[in-house]
Amino acid sequence: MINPMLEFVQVFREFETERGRLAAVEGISLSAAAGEIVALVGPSGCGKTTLLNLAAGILRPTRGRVVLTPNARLAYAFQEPRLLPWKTVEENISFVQEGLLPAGEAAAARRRILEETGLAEFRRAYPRELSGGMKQRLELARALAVRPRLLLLDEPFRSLDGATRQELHALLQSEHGREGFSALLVTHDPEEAVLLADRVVVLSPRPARILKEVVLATPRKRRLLNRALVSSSLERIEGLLSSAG
Amino acid sequence: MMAFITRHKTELQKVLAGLLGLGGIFLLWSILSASYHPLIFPSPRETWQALGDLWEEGSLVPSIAITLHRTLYGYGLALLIGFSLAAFSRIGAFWQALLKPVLAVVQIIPPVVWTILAVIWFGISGGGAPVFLIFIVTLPLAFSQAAAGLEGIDRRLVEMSQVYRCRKSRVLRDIYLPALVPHLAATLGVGFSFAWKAAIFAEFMGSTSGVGFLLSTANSNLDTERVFAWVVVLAVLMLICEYGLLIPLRRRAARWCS
Ligand SMILES: Nc1ncnc2c1ncn2[C@@H]1O[C@H](COP(=O)(O)OP(=O)(O)OP(=O)(O)O)[C@@H](O)[C@H]1O
Ligand SMILES: [Mg+2]
Repeated sequence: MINPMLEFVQVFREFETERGRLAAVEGISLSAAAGEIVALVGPSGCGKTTLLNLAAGILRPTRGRVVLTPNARLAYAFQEPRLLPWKTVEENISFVQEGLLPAGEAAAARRRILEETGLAEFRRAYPRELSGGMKQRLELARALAVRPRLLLLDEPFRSLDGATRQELHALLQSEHGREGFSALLVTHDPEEAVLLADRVVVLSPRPARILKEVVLATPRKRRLLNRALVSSSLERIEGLLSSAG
Repeated sequence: MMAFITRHKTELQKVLAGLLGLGGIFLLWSILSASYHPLIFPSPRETWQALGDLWEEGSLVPSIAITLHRTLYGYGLALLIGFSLAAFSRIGAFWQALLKPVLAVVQIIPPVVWTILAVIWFGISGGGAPVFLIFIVTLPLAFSQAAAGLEGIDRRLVEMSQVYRCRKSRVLRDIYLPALVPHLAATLGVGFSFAWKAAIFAEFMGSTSGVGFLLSTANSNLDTERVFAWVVVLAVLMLICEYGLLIPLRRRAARWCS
C-alpha cells in the first residue's frame, strides 16, 4: 500500500484496573488505504472500541504506533452517542463543523445529511426529545457532516429496525461514493461487514488479535444487489467467529 | 381576581406562611422587649428610632457599600484562586495530593486566628484585613465548589470535541460553561452569604470602617438599639439578596441548562 490513511504498527494496549493489568489489544498491525472501508468484527468485549479510540487519538498505545495521514480530517461516531444536551440537533452538528468547514459548505452539508438521515424535521429538537435510534442517527449524521477523510464508526447501525438499517446502509454507500473517505467500521454483524466493507478484519476474543483478513473482491454495488455473491466470505467469517468464541 | 388566586394558590400560601413566620418573630420581640430593660432588649419602636438616627447620620448606605465592596473583592479573589487551584489539581494525581493538605490546613485554622494574623499583617485602618480574612475563609469553600463543578464536566464530550478539533474557546463556552453554570448558581449564593458574614466579623474585630465597625462602636457604647437596628438592616438585606437575586438566578440557570 503506497499511502495508507491510517496505520497500526504492532499496537498493544493495556489498562490498569483494580485486578491488575488488563490487555485489550495485542500486537495489531492494520492499515486502511485512502477510500477503503475496513470492517472490524469480533466478539463482544474483545477490544473493538479500544481500537477506534486508539485511531482517534483518545487513547495512546502502550506499545507500537498509530500513524494517521497528517491533517486528515477525522470523524468518529461513538458507540454511545456523545451529544451536547443543551444544543439542538442542528446545533450539535454545526458545533463540530465550525472551524473545519467554511460556513456555506457546512450549511449545505448539514442540510443534505439532515435530509438523508430523516432528521430534518427534528433539527430544532434537543437530544432528550429523541428516541435512542434517532440519537444514534444524529451521531452518524454529525460524523458525516464534517466531510471527513477518515471515518470511525462504532456499531452505527445497531438496534435499528431492518428497513431503517438498510436505508442507512444505502446512505453510507452514497456518501462514500461522493466523498471517498476511508472508514473503520466496527460491527458485530458479519453480514453487514461483507456488504459494506472492502476488507473484513476478524478479531479474536480479548485481547484483540487479528485472526484473519477477508478481502471482498466483488464491487460493493453488485454485492448489495446480489447478496449471494458474498455468501462464501460470510460463511468463512462466521466460521472463524464461532470457533474462536 | 379569583382566577389569579386559584392559579397561584400554592405560591400565595407560601408567601402567607412566610409572612406569618416573620409576624411571629415580631410578636416574640415585642413580648420580650416589654419584660426587659431597653439596654438588654429594645422594643421595635426604639429600634425604629435608632434606624432613623442611622439614616440621618448618613453612615448607613456608605458602610454597607464598603462592606459589600470588600465582600465582593475578597470572595472574587477566593473564587479566582480557588478555581485556578481546582483546575490545576485536575492536571494530575500529584498536584491533587499536593494541594489537598494545604487547603485542609487553611480550613482547620480557626477564623479568629486568621483575624488576629490579618490585623497584625494588614493593620486596622485600611480594607486589607477584612479582605484577607474573607479571602482566606472562603478559599477552601471556593476550591471545593470549583472542584465539584469541574468534576461534573462530561469527559466524554471533551474527548468528542478533541476528535473534531474544536477550538478551545468553543469547548469552554459550549461544554465547560453549561456544565458549570447550574452548579455555580446553586453554590455561589452559599459562598457569598458566608463571605458577607465573614466581612462583618472581620470589620467587627479589626477595622475602622464598614458595617462590622459600626456594630462594634454601637456595642462598646452600649447602644443596644443601634445594634438591633443593624440586625434588622442586615436581615432585610439578606432577604432581598436571597429572594430578589439568588433564587431567580438559580431558576434561570436551571432553565438554561435543562
Ligand atoms: N478505560 C478503560 N479502563 C479499563 N478497562 C477498559 C477501558 N476501556 C476498555 N476496557 C476493557 O477493555 C476490554 C475491551 O473493551 P472494548 O470497549 O474495546 O470492547 P468492545 O469490543 O468494543 O466491546 P463491545 O462489543 O461490548 O462494544 C474490555 O474488557 C473492557 O472492560
Ligand atoms: Mg465497543
